[in-house]
Amino acid sequence: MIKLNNIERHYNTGSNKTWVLRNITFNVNKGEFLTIMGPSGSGKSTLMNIIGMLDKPDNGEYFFHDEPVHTFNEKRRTELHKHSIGFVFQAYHLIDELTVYENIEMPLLYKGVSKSDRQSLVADILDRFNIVGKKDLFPSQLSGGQQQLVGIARAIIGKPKLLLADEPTGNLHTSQGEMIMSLLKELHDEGMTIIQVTHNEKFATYGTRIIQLEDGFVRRDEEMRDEGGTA
Amino acid sequence: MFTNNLKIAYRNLLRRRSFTAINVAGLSLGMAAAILAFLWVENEYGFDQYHPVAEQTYRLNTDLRVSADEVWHWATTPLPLVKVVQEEVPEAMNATTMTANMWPVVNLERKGQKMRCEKYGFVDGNWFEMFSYQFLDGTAEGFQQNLHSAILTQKLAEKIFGKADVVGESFRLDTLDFTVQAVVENRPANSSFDQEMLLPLSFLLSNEQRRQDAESWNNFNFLTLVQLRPGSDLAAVNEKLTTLTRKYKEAEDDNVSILAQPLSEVHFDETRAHLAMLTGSQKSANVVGIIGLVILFLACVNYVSLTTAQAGMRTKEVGVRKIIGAGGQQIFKLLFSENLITALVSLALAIGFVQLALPYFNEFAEQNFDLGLTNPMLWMVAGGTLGTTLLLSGVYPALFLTDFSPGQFLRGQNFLKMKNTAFRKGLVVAQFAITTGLIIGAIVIYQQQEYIRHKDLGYDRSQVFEFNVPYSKTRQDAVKAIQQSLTTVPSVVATAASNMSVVNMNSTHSGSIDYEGKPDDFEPVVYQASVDASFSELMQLKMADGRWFQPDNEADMQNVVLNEAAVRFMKIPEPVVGQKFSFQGKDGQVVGIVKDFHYLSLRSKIAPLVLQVYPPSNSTVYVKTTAGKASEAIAAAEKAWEARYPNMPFEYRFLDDAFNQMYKTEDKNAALFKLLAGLAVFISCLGLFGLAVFSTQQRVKEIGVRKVLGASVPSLVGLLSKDFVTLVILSLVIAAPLAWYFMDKWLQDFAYRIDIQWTVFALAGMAAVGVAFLTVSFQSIKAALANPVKSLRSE
Ligand SMILES: Nc1ncnc2c1ncn2[C@@H]1O[C@H](COP(=O)(O)OP(=O)(O)OP(=O)(O)O)[C@@H](O)[C@H]1O
Ligand SMILES: [Mg+2]
Repeated sequence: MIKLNNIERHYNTGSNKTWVLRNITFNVNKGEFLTIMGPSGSGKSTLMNIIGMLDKPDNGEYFFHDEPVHTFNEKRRTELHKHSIGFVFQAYHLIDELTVYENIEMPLLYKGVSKSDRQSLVADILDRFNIVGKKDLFPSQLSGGQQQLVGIARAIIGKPKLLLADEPTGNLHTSQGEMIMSLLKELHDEGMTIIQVTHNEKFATYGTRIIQLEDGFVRRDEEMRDEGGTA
Repeated sequence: MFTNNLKIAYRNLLRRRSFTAINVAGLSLGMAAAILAFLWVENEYGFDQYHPVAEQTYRLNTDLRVSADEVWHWATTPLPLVKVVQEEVPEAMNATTMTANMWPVVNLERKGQKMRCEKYGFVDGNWFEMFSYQFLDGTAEGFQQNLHSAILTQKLAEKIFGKADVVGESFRLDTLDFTVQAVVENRPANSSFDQEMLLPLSFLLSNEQRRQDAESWNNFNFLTLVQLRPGSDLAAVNEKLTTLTRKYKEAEDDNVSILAQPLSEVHFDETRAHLAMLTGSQKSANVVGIIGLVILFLACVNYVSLTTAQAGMRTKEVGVRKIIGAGGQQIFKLLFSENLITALVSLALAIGFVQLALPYFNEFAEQNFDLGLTNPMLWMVAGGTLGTTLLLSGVYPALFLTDFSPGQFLRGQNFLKMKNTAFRKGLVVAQFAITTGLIIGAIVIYQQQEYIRHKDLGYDRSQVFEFNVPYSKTRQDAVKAIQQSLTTVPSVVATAASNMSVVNMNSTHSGSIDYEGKPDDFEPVVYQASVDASFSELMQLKMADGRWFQPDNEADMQNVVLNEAAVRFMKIPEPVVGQKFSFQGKDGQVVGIVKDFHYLSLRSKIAPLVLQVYPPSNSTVYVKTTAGKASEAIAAAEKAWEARYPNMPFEYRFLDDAFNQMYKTEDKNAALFKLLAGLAVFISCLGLFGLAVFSTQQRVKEIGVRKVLGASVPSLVGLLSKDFVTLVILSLVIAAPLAWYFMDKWLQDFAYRIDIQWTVFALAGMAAVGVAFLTVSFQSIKAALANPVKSLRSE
């Protein structure tokens, strides 16, 4: 599903180049639950942004469903990411001016889904995440875990092929983090391809595969044997 | 999607209540002020254009060459020209005439109720054919045949009769009974002819003496208005008119020319200002218009800088929306709908403000402006403002944000904010430069007004009131009798008389002057006045040489007193006192030189003045009262008046008031300027306040951290206010030279004027910085006092 070939990314700091990603090559298959780990500043978020098509690599090739994303212009990348990828953020990034219901509904609006379909889709997901009672509240009225639930609901309502979660539990207590992780696992069990970034060893084990980044290089890439992830 | 945008926009606006309020208040106030200013300008520029044949209508003016280098410009012509134009100038389709300055005022009386009327005129039968009047009751039919008939405006009719349907009813005008022929609608604000009462010219000419005077080709007392055929050659018409006038005048010299002037240009022709027509200043109209534009600009700048400031805060929202799938167009629409709502609300409020302010504005302007919703000017202001603000504040940040790639947001960058602080700072500087400039202007205007008010005029006008004795064959006796009866009154210090008020003795003469050593080709033009023997002492005039006129000195009836300017101008040979001097047919001598005093508006330099004693023309009586006893003196004067003129109201005015009256238009323009300047300052401060709110909001976290680390409140306030105050000082540096240039130009109109001191700039600078600091520090102090734990937790 995803094929990264020699992806590189650098920033210009003053007159020198700082390499953030070096020589990144790996594939992600459909249905995988990949965890990216690594020390702070190792380039995890940068890699996620590239996979999410919010950012462009300086070198290398990126195929998404065999489409050469690295050759696309910004507009085509935007089109592709809109329809194929859902994002979950560490800081939730809900829109403060909108209610829970409206936050979740927003991607459907941008997709042009009809009103009745939107209503039933949002109702389903509210129901599934057990937040029906919160639908008219604003983000500031929710706990962190609840906000992240809404964030995930918003990310998956458009039925993306890939879910990207950059430290989804980073701002949460352990118990709330566990709830979010089991939700992600559930989604994975239903067939969703997921890539997550985490610093938490335990949460990493929810996935099927771990990639370890260090100074922009892939240091380790291993399948979780006990889970027996789909190949 | 659209209702969704509106809903979100509405919520956003509500959530940022203070911003929205500042935005709406600034924009609507600005629009309202601009609409009022433009109403004024539109009115000034649209004078007389509502008459159906306005475009073909011309006023005939006279140019009279009095010497090689002086031409007098009059708005009037001899009466017979009206007939000649119609009969002998083929281009003329119609012509009509009006005269107004027969008597300055007439007294009206109805059932014992007395009142005066200054705005009246005599018109001929063609008047209503060429000029549009809305008849409410009665017609102009038979107006000229019925000598004692009058056409009144609704306003005057109501003043005299207490109602408007008064056709056929009569009232007393001076000593005659007149019947109301018709009642017309009040004169529109843009009519040059603002007469409240029109009387038939045939009445004026029914007196043989007056008819002879009027029909002389040597008296230029009639406004003549002609309707020319479309496409007439104006130069040819002027040529014909001039030739005909010279022919009938039987003058061999060619010093008279007649010039047709389009009606549209008449209103702004100040050199030919005439009592019967409202004259306006094109310069003032332009200044008001420009200030209107400036205020509108300031309001737009506020709006733009605040909106773009907020747009920067919305990076997150826009970033998230984009990641979730919003296209550029959708983001644009969202931001745009917010602006649209704000702009439309502001427009509605502006129209409301204008309606509320109109009555006061009308009172101030002495106008009856009306703002119909169909007035195209309103929609031009609205369209222009909304267009500009939407373009600058809606499209500009919207484009910025739509271009903004979400990856940048995730990396914590605020693209918009980085790019446009310079832009916003520039706006603040522009805004405050204008504001400071206006403050400087207002201070200079105020200082000049004070200067004029307190300038030593060379005569003492304090505790003196004056009144006019109406013309009659026995006026000389009446004046004498009134003065006589006041001499024994303890509250009266002295009385005097002259032929016109000392505050403005605006009458020139030339042609009859002769003295030893006058070159043959020198025909001096001098100001002239008739006074009496007590005038000098009452006014506290100072003699430079010789003496003043003496009471009961028969020889002084032939003698003159000159002012210093006259002596210099005519180069009277030494010794001046005692020189023979012929003036207006009297052969006497110069008995004294009076020190220059300001007998004209301070706009003009003290000009040569010849004073003589000619009792028959003395109509203005001055009474100087003892301090604190003015009302007793007035009562005594009224008693003396009533003994002579039982049927006329006694009207007096203090010289102080008469003096201020002379600067009324100027004072009014100055007041308007100050009002608009004040508004501009207010609007600018609103904008600055908004920016201060914005920037402190943005720095809430920083302030919290600094406080936790031990920063004191004053140091925080200083930190937060510093930037703005620096900007304001920068604008002062820009504004000062520009303001100096324009105000210096304005002062050139005054022969007597202040010098612009550096203190003006210091004062204006202090005012601007002070106001800015107060505005900004309010926010800063609030932020600095806030509990840091709160602000940090919310992050
Ligand atoms: N816009 C930028 N300009 C310059 N350097 C940047 C920029 N964005 C990121 N970097 C650098 O790239 C490196 C990788 O950043 P990245 O955010 O990918 O790290 P990370 O692995 O996600 O770290 P963390 O675990 O702390 O989130 C860092 O050293 C960072 O300083
Ligand atoms: Mg990161």
